[in-house]
Amino acid sequence: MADPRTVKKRGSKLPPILGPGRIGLRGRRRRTGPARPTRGRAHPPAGTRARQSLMFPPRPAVTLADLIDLEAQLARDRDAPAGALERRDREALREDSRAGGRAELLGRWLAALREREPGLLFPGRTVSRALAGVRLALAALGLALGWGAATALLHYTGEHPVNVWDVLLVLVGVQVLLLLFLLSAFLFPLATLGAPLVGVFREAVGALYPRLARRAAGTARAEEWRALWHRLRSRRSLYHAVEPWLLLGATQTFGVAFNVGALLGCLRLVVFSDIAFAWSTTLVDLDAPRFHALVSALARPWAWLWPDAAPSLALVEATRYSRLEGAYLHAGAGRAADLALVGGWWRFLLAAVATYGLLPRALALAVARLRAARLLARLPLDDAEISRVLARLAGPLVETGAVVPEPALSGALQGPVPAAAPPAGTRCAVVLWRDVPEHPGLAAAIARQVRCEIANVHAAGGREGRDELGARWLAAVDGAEPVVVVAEGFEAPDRAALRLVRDLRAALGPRRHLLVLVAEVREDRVGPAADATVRTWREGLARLEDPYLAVEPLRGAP
Amino acid sequence: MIPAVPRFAVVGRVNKGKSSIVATLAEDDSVRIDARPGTTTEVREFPVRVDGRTLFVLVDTPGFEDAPRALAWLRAREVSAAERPARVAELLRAFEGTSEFVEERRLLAPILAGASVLYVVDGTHPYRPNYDAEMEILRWTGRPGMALVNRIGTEDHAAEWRRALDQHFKIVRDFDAFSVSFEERVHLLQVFRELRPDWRAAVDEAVAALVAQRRRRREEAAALVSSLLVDALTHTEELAVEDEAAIEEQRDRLERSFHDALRAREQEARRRVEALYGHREARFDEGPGLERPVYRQDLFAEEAWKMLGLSPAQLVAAGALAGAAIGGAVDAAVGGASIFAGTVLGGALGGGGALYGVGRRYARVRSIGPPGIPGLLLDVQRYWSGARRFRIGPHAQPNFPWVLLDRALLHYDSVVRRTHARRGAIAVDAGEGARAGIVAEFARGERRALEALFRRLRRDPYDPPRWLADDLERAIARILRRVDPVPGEEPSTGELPGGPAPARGTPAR
Repeated sequence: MADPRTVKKRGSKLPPILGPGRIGLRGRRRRTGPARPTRGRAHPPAGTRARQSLMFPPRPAVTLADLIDLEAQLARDRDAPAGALERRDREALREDSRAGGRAELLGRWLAALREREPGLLFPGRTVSRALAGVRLALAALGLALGWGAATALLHYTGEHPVNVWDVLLVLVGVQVLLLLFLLSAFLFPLATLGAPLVGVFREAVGALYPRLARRAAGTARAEEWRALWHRLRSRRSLYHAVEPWLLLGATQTFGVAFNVGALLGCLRLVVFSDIAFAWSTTLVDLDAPRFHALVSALARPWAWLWPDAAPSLALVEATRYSRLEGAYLHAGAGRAADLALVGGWWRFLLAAVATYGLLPRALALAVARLRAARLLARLPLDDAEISRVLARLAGPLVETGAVVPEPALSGALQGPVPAAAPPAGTRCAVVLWRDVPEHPGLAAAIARQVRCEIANVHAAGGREGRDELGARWLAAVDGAEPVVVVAEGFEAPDRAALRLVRDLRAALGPRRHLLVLVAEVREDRVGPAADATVRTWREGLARLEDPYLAVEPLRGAP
Repeated sequence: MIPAVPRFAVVGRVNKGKSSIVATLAEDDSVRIDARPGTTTEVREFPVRVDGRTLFVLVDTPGFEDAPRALAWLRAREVSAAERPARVAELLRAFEGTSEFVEERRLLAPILAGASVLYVVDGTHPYRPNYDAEMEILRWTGRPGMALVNRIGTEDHAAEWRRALDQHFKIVRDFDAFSVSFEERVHLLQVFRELRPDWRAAVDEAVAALVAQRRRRREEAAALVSSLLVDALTHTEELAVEDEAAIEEQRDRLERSFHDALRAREQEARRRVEALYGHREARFDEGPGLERPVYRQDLFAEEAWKMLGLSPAQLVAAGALAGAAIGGAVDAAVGGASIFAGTVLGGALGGGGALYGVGRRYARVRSIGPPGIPGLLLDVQRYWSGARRFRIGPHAQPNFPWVLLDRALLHYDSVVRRTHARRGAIAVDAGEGARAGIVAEFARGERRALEALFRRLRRDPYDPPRWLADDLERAIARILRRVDPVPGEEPSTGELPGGPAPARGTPAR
């Protein structure tokens, strides 16, 4: 929704009353104050609100085209992942464009998306133009039909005068009936069934303009169009409440044009030819005074304003006609009637068409346009769905996570089939890896499991880092076998652990049994580590491919 | 050298949860977390970007693997305290291109480049003196740092760790990467700002953005849940059957299709909620207590309906069974399992017939036709022609939307509580008490208001008005605000327009 003070209206050169979306009773733009952020619905500034609510429609914060495009975009976004939408909107809208009121922000967002993704379906402008085109066509049709109807009804060849009844019934009676039907739709609305202002003509117009828009936009997206219109017509859409008033406005445009055409047709014949009017009836009781009373009642709305348009009794008496005799009945006037008198019905007929035809239609048109504009201006831009969109637009886009993908890991190694365990009863050496506490039960548990006598105990991997014996391991273990390395389960078989095992292997030779016992050593107990950690140690040491290296959980106390 | 963008290097020994902490803070469940040592082999950066600007960077590093030897090398030459950072830099240069101290050189490089230190230990394993070497090396770098006591196992040795860590780090925090809440994550990030005063603005901005994002995600999740409810409560399927002999088979097929569609819709909603919170690789499963032949509890499982949704008394109070209680007009379009609640409440209310259908979980297929005389004429025509039309849905069982909502809330609760460090399946916790769900703890006014929305949806399944979906979404958003409150937010009272204030603001779990 661009600021109308700074951007010219594009496209339509139609007069405002027939133009798309932007309306005003007199067709002028209403100046409002500077745009202010509004939390809820878009209202005009308070100072002008009272006056506007009475006479002039509020400036619509959302145009019809934007509303339709908004619905189309919301439908597309409904199934998209939230993260993708955030990134798209950040790329589409610059940071300085994300300030402002809700309506303005939505408008800028839609404009940015239209520019960014022109291949998507944004039918708003096309639909607006189609609707304007339909209105124009209906106006032209109405003018033509009205003109034609008046011409037909007032056709006078000189044989029989024009029957006032015919003109009244067609141009006034039928319209009064239609008006009553329209009013009943207001008073007894079908809105409870979700279908306000139903009418065959309106439904026809409602079916026509989307088809025209679809044709204008190309038929490549037929399915998408169908889905969109199904959604727009549903009660879940924002457009749903506005469309009935748009359609009413279109049909009343026809009605206004028809009446204008009829009036112009009448005037043309009255001014540029002579017409004789008469009235006649088969009913005996309907005499001149009674007929005068009837037409006087009809003329009451304008009689005070235009007395000449109220038929006098003399006019009624003078223009009673008999087709059987082919003459006016009054005082033997015959066919040579007073021209000024027999033509005097024209004022009454014009006034009747204007009052009972044109005026109600014009009022209905004004109500429809005002209502549509008001609905557009008061669109619930603070409903949950729109609020989420606005929060996404105005809020920060947060991205976390690694930029570079993680390199692949090699698979776990199986390791060679271990050689047989050393015979029992030997002497074993123990290496406590990384500060394994010298718990009293630890030595016993080792001796029990390995079935050996512990000859010597060493420490490795401590904090000082200076106790790595390297080649001196051979002397340190003093011939004991196996050499048992005790590691706690929560310590991983990392590079330092691998180096220790390699150092031991290098010092002890290829066939000396090495056993890694993975244990859980606490103040109050000594026991096996979890299966998962034992497995981790096995897999970690498998890369050494040492058949004389075994990994087992420490079995602990029986 | 102090980098312009705050950088925090997460360091520690292998398998102490460094990557888990990074995964949790960066909300990245693709970070490899493995029991094998050396899973992290390279330094990886996890920038936290807001609107395209990097506000701070977390650096995941390989773990210390040979710290004592490295420290021994550093100490091999006597240096003053001021020269220690240079000595550490010398270590990196001296062994460049060799296989010595590979991990140590990699993890120290970002620290020497200006990153602050986040030293991670596992507080569920005992402290051992050899860890001092790591802390000492980090102290030699001269960079500000803090220690995080992670929790991987089940034991608690945090106290002994703190005694050691307090001597090396001025800030020591507990941080269980596997179960930390969003609020705790935010608090930790706020502690980061204490490491360097000139980084405070960036960290504060990042925290504010994360909080705003969390709030937005919650609103999106409310939309997903309400959309699920709307679709489920308005879902109908129809079928025309020409062949009289195939009617039963077609009816069964229709019934299966209907319930499968509801299941699929629920699954879709769940996946979208999980993706919303960045859980792309997670699996969420119903708790082990609800055992079924299938691994995941089915939407229409009997146990689920016994434990979730509202109790019969609550359904009556919410008005779900008002019509049934008054006129026995419970929708007979449900069929299936036994009426488990009829005996209980039927006795209490003295009207077991009014609860007909409370325990039934499945919707039933029924014949359709237009109402009134046209319908009769059409039925006559169909009778002679043999063509029949069937419809199933909307699902009219009073407890169905409540069970669906309960499952959605339980799932949501599991999602928001799950950190991105977790791997594998995680049980969806059920609540405690006779009923395992959340909705049973709602205030009466809230239940009644929701029930009114559910009934209106059912009544208008083909074209529900916008305001209805909007009201439902707002109601769900209020509930989610209680499930996942965002730091700095006023606690949701759960008040609904026109409803009384709830008895409790937070559902019991």
